[in-house]
Amino acid sequence: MVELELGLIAIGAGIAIAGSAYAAAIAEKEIGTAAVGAMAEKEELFGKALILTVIPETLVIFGLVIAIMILGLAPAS
Amino acid sequence: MIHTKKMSRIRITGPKPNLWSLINELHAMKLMHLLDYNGKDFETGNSFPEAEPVSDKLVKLRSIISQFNLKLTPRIIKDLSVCSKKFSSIYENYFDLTSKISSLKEKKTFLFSQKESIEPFSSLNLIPANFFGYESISVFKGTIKKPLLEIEIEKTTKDFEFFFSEFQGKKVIALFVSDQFKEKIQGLLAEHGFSEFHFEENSDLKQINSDLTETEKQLTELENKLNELKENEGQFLSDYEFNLEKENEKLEAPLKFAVTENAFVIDGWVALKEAKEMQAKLESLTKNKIFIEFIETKEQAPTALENPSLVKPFEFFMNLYALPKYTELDPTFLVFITFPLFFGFMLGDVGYGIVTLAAFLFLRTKFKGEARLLLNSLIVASLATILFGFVFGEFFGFEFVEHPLLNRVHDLQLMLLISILVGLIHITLGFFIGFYNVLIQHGFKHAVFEKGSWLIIEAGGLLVISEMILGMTSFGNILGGIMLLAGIILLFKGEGVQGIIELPAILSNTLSYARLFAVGLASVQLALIINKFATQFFQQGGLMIIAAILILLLGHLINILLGLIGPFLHSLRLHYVEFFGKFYEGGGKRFLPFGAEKNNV
Repeated sequence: MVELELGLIAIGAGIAIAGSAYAAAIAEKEIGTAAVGAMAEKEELFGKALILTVIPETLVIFGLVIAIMILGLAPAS
Repeated sequence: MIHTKKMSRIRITGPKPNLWSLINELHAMKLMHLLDYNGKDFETGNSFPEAEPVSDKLVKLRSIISQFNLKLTPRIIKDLSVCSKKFSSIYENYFDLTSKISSLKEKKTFLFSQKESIEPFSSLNLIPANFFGYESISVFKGTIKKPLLEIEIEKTTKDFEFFFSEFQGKKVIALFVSDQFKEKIQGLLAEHGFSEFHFEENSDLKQINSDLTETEKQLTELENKLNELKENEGQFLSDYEFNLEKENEKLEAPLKFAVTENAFVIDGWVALKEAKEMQAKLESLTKNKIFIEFIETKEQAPTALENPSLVKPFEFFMNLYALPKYTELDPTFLVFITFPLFFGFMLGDVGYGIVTLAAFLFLRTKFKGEARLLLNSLIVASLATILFGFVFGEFFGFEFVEHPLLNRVHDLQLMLLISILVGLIHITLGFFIGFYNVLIQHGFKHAVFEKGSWLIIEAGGLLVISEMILGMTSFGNILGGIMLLAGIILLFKGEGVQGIIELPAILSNTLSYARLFAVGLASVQLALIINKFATQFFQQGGLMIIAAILILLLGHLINILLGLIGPFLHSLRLHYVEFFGKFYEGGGKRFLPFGAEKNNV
């Protein structure tokens, strides 16, 4: 039943990415809204707004690292 | 290059009769950043008496310029005195035209509403005179929204005259009733959404129509004249505004200075290199009547970045974020090195590099100022993309080298490792710069507590990893543990609880560099899918070849656009968040010499 194991591993990696990406999306949505609002008032804030907005992106990277580690469990083909 | 431009504080004192010539000279030199006087010992100066008519003219000029929507490049005018007369005649002309136009427009609206009220009744054979001259009859003329039936009026009275017609989709009525039912009928009409027409008894539709045509004719004529004025004098107006603004700057400069009855004091910053030269020039100009002194001060000087022309475009990223403080290191040079490398590492494709390079080179000819700086820096980034394209052996997603130095699609673990290592180096570099910044600002002790502690923690962590995970050393755990503990204690002394809370950030910051390969992987996989898809169409032959070419073009175009946004933002973010976070404070005030263009960065 090697195929089933492989499939489960793939699904696991997928969940790691999907979950973290979803979380990052929610966080960025909230921050992005506020950032655009602030920028409408004061345009020079673009640099700071950009930084604050992209901070949650790191979440996906964590997901990616985990996904790669999970894929590492797969038997070498 | 690494430092911001060295400044020296300068104070000029002199007698008032020399002030105007001195201001003129300073304005032309464009060397001195003036400081507002806000002490209490002296008064601040007043602007020259000529300032008032000049600013009055500026207001008028700007209103015309914004009305005309002029966006011309201004030129220097040598002699302003002749312009004043020309401008007043232009302004008179402009004022005359615009006031005539606005009164004609009012007339047109009035005539038009008259026409709209009278015209509908012509189909009912009613003329304006029919509605006037009754003693005991009320007249209702206008439109209604809901249809009105005669039966509804009959409920109130049988004694009435009712006209109804549809005119251009509107329901037009004319109703004549005896005065005693006026109020009831009013109520009834209100229910049907009645709105009344207004016109005079002696109005004549023919006359109104001919008046309307005449007015419109006059209006076009005047508007043409106004356009002519814009075409002919637009350039002059832009030039005049530009030069007058400069004049105004000079006339209002004394508002920044400290004055006594007979003397003035000008305070400001000059670049150290140019200070001596400026002093000599000013002293000879005023025949040694002014006194210039250099002052030692701990105040923060304004920031002027100073980089060679190759690095200069990357100042864009500093302007976008925040200027460094005067005492801080200017990280532009470091951004110049790492930004293109990160960008290239992520996009990494010879084909994409060439396409973007061509696009940026083309766009560069279209833009000026800030946008040009950005494009120049992106050109460097495109070159790095081509370079990494050779490293990865990729050309539009095709592997054109059999065994490239690195294979992005297959060597995942290796790519991840490289990314993290790059991150580790970058962050360590950031801590070292931070150490230096704190060292020159607050001394060695603070530097060790605030930044050295992080370096010790990092080294300790690496030692622990070397034994626990890699198994390379046998002493790593003990030595590393001691260093970690020492580092944390130092950090606590330096930054308090806040520092301890931020401890895990060092791990997440390092891992964050994994995006270096992750973004690239996404881009290369997309390119591979596009190519695979197109190949299948190619194999079918015939008309499908056209489809295949379309897929290739469109697919790669989209991927390049995505590939530009992704690597650009991610590379920028790695600098702003992970790198700058380690050392950068920012918040410097821009060095703006008196007389220089304000928007010229």
